[in-house]
Amino acid sequence: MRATPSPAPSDTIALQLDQISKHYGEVRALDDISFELRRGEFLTMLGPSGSGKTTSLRVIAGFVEPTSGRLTIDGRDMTGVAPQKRNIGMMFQDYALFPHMSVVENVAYPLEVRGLSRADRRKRAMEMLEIVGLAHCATRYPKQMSGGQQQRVALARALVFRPDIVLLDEPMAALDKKLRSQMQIEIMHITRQVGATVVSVTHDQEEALVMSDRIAIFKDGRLAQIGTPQDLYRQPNSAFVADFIGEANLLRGQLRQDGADLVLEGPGWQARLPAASAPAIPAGAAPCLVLRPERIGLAEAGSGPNTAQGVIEEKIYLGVEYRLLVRLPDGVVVQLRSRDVARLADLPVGSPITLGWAPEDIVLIPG
Amino acid sequence: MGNRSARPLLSRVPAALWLLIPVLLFVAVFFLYPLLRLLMVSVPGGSFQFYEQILTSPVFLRVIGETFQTSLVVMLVTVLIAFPYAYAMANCSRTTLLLLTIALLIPFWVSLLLRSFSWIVLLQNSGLVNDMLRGLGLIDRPLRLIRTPLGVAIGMVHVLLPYAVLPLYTILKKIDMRLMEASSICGASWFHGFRRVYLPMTLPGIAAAAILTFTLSLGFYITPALLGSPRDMMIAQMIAGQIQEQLNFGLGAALAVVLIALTATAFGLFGLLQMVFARRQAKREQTA
Ligand SMILES: Nc1ncnc2c1ncn2[C@@H]1O[C@H](COP(=O)(O)OP(=O)(O)OP(=O)(O)O)[C@@H](O)[C@H]1O
Ligand SMILES: [Mg+2]
Repeated sequence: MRATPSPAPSDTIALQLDQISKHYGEVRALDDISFELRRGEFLTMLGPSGSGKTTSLRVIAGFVEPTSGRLTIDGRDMTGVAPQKRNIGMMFQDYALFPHMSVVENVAYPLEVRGLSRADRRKRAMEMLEIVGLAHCATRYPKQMSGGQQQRVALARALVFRPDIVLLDEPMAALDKKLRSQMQIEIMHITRQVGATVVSVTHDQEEALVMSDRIAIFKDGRLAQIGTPQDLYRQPNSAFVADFIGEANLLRGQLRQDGADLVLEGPGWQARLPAASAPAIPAGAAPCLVLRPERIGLAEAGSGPNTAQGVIEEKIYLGVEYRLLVRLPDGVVVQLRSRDVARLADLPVGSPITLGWAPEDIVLIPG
Repeated sequence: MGNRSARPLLSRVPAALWLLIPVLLFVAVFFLYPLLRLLMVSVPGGSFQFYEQILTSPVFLRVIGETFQTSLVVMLVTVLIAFPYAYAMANCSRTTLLLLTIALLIPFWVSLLLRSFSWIVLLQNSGLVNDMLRGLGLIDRPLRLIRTPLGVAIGMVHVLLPYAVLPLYTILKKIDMRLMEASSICGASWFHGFRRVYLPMTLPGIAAAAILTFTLSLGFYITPALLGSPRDMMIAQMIAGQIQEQLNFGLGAALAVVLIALTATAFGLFGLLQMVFARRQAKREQTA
């Protein structure tokens, strides 16, 4: 899934959050967040609006003192360490460019602060502007630029001094699709080159999948799950995560043990997997079956294990594949993508159909 | 019907302008007319003798010069004190803001005369300030605070403070404090960020506060009369002296005109400065 081959992140822990909470009165903006990042690792935070992503970045940056918990950078406790002493580059959600400074002055500001000579900082700022494709705008002022351009200036300012840790708050929200994939690659390239540890926030799960070593999913100020994109995709620990990463069909059913197998079944469908490979489901939980659309195929008619009977509700031809919506007897709609174009061409909407999947593609989550 | 030029002239005046008429009338009757009279009195029979007298008399020139000097010092001190106050107002909780605003505006409810008298009580040789300094063992003999330029400056700064704080506050509260966060995460100390990021954005507010306090200082009368010595006379006192004591209306009027002219010049200079700011600002915002 990676766009560029990367040197594996090293083993030293660059950043550690240990049971961090931040309460604003009754609001729990962050609730017991713990994770650690190795040097050079790229973490993306995903989550609905208001789930605590920006607050996490602000705790790491040092603008917000956590209500409880401990933050360490390179093993050093950051309690009481001012933001300017943390050597962190940050891009703000609303850019926070200095309105009275030109673009190149904005980008050169971190270098000016670090005491570089006028010529040096201009040179490095211009190099950085070159990378984000804005060298021709160096003498403009922020107000004279579009949202996407301002965003790239903010990015340049966050990266120009080669910080150890880079925090990006929705770095590409204002960019169009083409510019976005271009900037994704640039960001990865630059941060890898300097070996920076990156924490990025996004609403775009594709961006998260492309760029991240690991993804952290936030929900209501809590960490719903953290792991590699593959982990989250294959082993989501909740319906929330399954739904958040990629497309997912969620089927609720009854669980029973049948010899060495676990069987989860509902009207018209049955999933069967070896009990050994299933996650521990607490007694009394209402487990849920997660099926990815591209893991479902057409099966022979007849109700065997790992099949579902339904009726085609909608059929969209997408060239190499069909996108199908199939309604199960209890009204639940399953979506799938199938490359079985020849067979599907003959099946009109409304005809009965049998779907099937491999036991290893089954993900069970505890409700 | 459709011929616009056929409509009476008056109906083409934008309606909103009619609302200005009471104000214009008031200003014309109670300000422009007396001002014109003043001008006429100052040049009796078309002679500029009084102006000649002012411009050639060392006494008058000295008073004018000292009025400017006092006003400059007062302006500087007022703005220096007002800035942190306005900064606190712009970055505090709502309760604190309320308290700070009340503290700032309460003096407005007390007459200027009364306030100047209170300063006499505080600053006189056996006043609170001297007693305190003596009590702390910092001085042996009372400091001369009233009837000195220092006393005048203290009284004037106190009166002028709200005029500097309010325009500053309106500018400061609009400044996005995220910019200071951005500055600090770029590695800048608070002071560096203040100097390079915050302060430049406050310049319009500082200019507004400075011009208000300066031009108001030029015309101060009661405070210097009560807290200063005759030697620290300011121009307004001299005008009053000419009119009330010498009964020399012509010379008094001429002095008043000089005061107006000087104030207007100061105003003009500040205006020019603000135009330069505005132009720089516009340059930053125009789409290149
Ligand atoms: N200074 C504050 N005072 C009070 N509540 C706050 C403050 N900052 C954040 N919150 C609350 O904390 C929660 C998390 O906010 P946060 O900005 O971290 O969300 P987010 O995940 O970044 O959302 P978005 O995707 O919309 O940017 C929200 O409920 C928000 O209202
Ligand atoms: Mg946010």
